[in-house]
Amino acid sequence: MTRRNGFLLLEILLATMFICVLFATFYQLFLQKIGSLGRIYADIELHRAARVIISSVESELVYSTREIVLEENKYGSMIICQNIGLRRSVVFYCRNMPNERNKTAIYKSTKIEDRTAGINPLSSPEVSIEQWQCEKINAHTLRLKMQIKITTLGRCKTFVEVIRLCNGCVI
Amino acid sequence: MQRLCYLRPHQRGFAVLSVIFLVVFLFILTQGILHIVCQQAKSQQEYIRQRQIVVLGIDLMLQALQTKEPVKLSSKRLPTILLYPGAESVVPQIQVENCATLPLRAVNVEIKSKNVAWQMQHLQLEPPGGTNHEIYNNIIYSGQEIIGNIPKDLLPANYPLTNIVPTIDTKGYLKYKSMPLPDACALREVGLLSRIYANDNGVSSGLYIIGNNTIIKGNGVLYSGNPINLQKDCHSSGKLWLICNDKIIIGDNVKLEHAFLFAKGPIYIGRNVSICGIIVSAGRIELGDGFSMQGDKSVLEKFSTSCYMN
Repeated sequence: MTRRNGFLLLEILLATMFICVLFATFYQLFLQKIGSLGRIYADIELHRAARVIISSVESELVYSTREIVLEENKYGSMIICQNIGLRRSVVFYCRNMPNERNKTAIYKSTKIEDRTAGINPLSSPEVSIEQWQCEKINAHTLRLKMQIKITTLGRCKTFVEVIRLCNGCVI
Repeated sequence: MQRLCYLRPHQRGFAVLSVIFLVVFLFILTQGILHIVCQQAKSQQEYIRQRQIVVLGIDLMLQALQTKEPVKLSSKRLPTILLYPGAESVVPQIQVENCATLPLRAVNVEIKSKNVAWQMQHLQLEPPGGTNHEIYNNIIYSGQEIIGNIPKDLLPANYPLTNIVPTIDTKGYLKYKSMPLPDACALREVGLLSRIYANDNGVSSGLYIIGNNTIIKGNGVLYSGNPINLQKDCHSSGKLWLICNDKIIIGDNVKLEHAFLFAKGPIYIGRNVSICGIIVSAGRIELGDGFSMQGDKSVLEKFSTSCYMN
């Protein structure tokens, strides 16, 4: 029995050695793959964040907005939308997150007449908005440019969208 | 090597098994990551295609509405378009509907793809019978009689006229409704969205009540087959069409700034009501004390709804 137990220990040592040899052999490749996976994950997250923000902004601007006013704040553009329903107005803007000074996020502030505004973040805490610019192309068309950065990996991507308004105009 | 002789048969290959386990683990991990990447790539592709459909649809709709001679605009089936990525083909279509009995024109843009049918609608409508109908030469018109104090300059020409209102179709609005009649909460939170609201045989059927003190903002057409009751102290500032197949009851102290009231039944108006617009009723109109009215024929101008997704 003693011999057999000793043999098991030897087997485990051998297995560990094999694994170490394998890792050592493919270390560079493994590191590269881990790096690639990180970038893939970052790109997925960036695109996902962009999709969420653009879908939300677009659905508000295209169908529900009667009048848009563009203003600037410290972090970029403020898109002030007056809803067709007149009682509701929505503002999309960028500012830093309450508990994290270095991160900025996109917020949607919805104001209904005679009530306090409800503010919701559109971007996830994993990303930071580096640039948020909206400019008027013509009375019915806007160009939205945003740069999103994954804070953990530092990967950054710029997204540009042209939005046409169906029921409103840009002042 | 001597020690291997002591190895029982089932213990042989333990080291190899460990390596195989590691390889399998790494393989499953890689497959999992690849699966997530594929799913995300598919979502991204779908999103890109959806955006192309939306942009195409909006451009077509805006182009159709900006046509210089919209009267000549007719239904068209456009050539097939290939979307990127995936080479998915879509067939855009512009359909123009002209209602036979209602002075109404609907422009629909429809794009059908493999997975989704995207449809957008815009309506242009005139008051029942058409803007140029003879009854609209009057600020206030009743098919029977008007009871109450009314300034003589507001009385219809050749009053009372023959009852021609019942022959005018109003039920057609139901087909083109975009939303059910809004409740007080919807009116308070959003207001009217430049659309046609109508009741149906479901939840919203029955007497339609707009509660006390409701402030109606925005433009809209409210059609009801049943009576409409606008309770006291309501206020409307936008272009409001109230079209009713039954009676309309307006409560005390109501103020309608830009309103068109059309009822197949009687219209009862409470005390201290102020209306700027046009009132038409097939039945009698009863006016309360302190009623004031100002004619505003601009409310009869074509009502263009907002473009909305169906």
